[in-house]
Amino acid sequence: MNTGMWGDLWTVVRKEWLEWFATRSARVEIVGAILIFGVLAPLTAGLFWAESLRVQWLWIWLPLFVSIGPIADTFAGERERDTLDVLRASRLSERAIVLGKVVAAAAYGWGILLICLLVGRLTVSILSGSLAHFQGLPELGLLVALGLLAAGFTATAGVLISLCAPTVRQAQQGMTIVMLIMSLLTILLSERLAATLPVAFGAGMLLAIVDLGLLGVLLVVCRRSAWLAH
Amino acid sequence: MATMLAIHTEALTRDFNGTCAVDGLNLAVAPGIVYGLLGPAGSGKSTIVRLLLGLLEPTSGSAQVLGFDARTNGHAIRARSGVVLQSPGLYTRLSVEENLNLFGRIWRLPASERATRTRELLTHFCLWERRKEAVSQLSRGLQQRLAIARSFLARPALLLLDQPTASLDPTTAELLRLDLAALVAEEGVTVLLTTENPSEAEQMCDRLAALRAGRVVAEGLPGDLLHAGAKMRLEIVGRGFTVDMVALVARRREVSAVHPMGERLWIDLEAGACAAPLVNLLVESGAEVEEVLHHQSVLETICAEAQQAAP
Repeated sequence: MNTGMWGDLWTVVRKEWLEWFATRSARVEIVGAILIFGVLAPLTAGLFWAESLRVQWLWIWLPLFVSIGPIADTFAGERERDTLDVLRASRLSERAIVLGKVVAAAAYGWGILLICLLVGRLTVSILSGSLAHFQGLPELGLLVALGLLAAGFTATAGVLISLCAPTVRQAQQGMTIVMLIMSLLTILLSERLAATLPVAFGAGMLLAIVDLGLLGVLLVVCRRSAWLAH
Repeated sequence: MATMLAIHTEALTRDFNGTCAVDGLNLAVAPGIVYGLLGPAGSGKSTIVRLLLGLLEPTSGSAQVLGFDARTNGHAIRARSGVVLQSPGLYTRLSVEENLNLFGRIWRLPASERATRTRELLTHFCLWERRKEAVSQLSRGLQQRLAIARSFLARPALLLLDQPTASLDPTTAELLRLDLAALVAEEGVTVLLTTENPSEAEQMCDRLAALRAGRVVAEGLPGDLLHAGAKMRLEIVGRGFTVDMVALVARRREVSAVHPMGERLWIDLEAGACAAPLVNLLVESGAEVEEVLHHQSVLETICAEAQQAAP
């Protein structure tokens, strides 16, 4: 990838973020998610929230539900508003458009997730009067890395769904189903996943492979420009 | 010769599941002119624009745009072209200025040039005072002006305008045409304009091709095509047009051709011929004439025929 391609990618990422943060309702939604997942839930669950790796596994997925709306909008929304045609008729390559949207979506979801994790740990620390919950760096590091992979999965799967869906509503429905399946799988497997760090690491690797596979599918699909145009 | 042309297509064809949208199109557009494609809805105008930009692959034939093959080098064409589609395609949550800034970044304009060009274009289209407003706050006419400003941003070598004034009210459309014509003259850009409006074609274009069902049916200077006195056409709507009647009309000296089409009779007249004797002849022969329409040009006839063909 040359510097020009990086510049194009950043232009698309910037455009997506500008659009997502342009409305007040989007900003309120983010603040609401941080309050619910970062303050309210840890307050309700207490110390268990920070100490159980099992709970943290599940917590990786929940804040990502907030990103369903913006991600579903990436292609389906642009198609509905006739802006996709203009973007395709510009000098941007299809690869820059697709990758830019994936990076914007992944960073958005991961950003919200990190804020929720940090605020949550802070809430629990205030609750317990100790900063002990910021220790245990391997676990925390693993959660941050797993969060990135989960956000990457949400972004690639979501952008792919949005690319193929005829409307934003259908893209949102498709994404909600995928996210529910991932959350349920996590609940079902959480005991095993949380047993030891190597197992959790292995699960993370598996998720990384799935992410890369989805990205590959996405790039292959985007080469067939008819999919972009519908 | 081909390398001298801004657009050069040879037998360009595009099928959609067996339906031919563009059928053996041959175009030769010289640089620095405004070339018009005039035709009714469904005549293949938008498909041609997509083919020229390399967004659609032709089924057969070739298109060279600015010296690049549209099939293999669409990216190079798009990098040198500005586009306005029927719908403005603006980011309505962003402000007027942010929209232009975004496309300035897409075209990799340096920040200082982006700012200068944005000011220039927004001032030209009377949008400078409203630059901080969200695009959703603008009227449809102003949005289309902004879309046109966006297409000029990177000083493209070629501008593709796909029915830029469609769905605008006549006054707004006229103002937009004036603004557009002034800017085209100022920037010296080659323009391919598609339209369904003959008067727009005449006002804007240096050269014109009339399209019907994906084919060029007439090509030349707008004045020649629109006001050529040699061939005028009558469209007679009614019932009871028999074969004998058609033969009778066809034998008249002022008639060059007669085409029956269901409850319509198309009659090509020689220059200066009158419709009244022919209508009388038909009525006296037993036909029921409900309406007589007089088309002054080939182009108006095409548009009228297409309207009848539409469901």
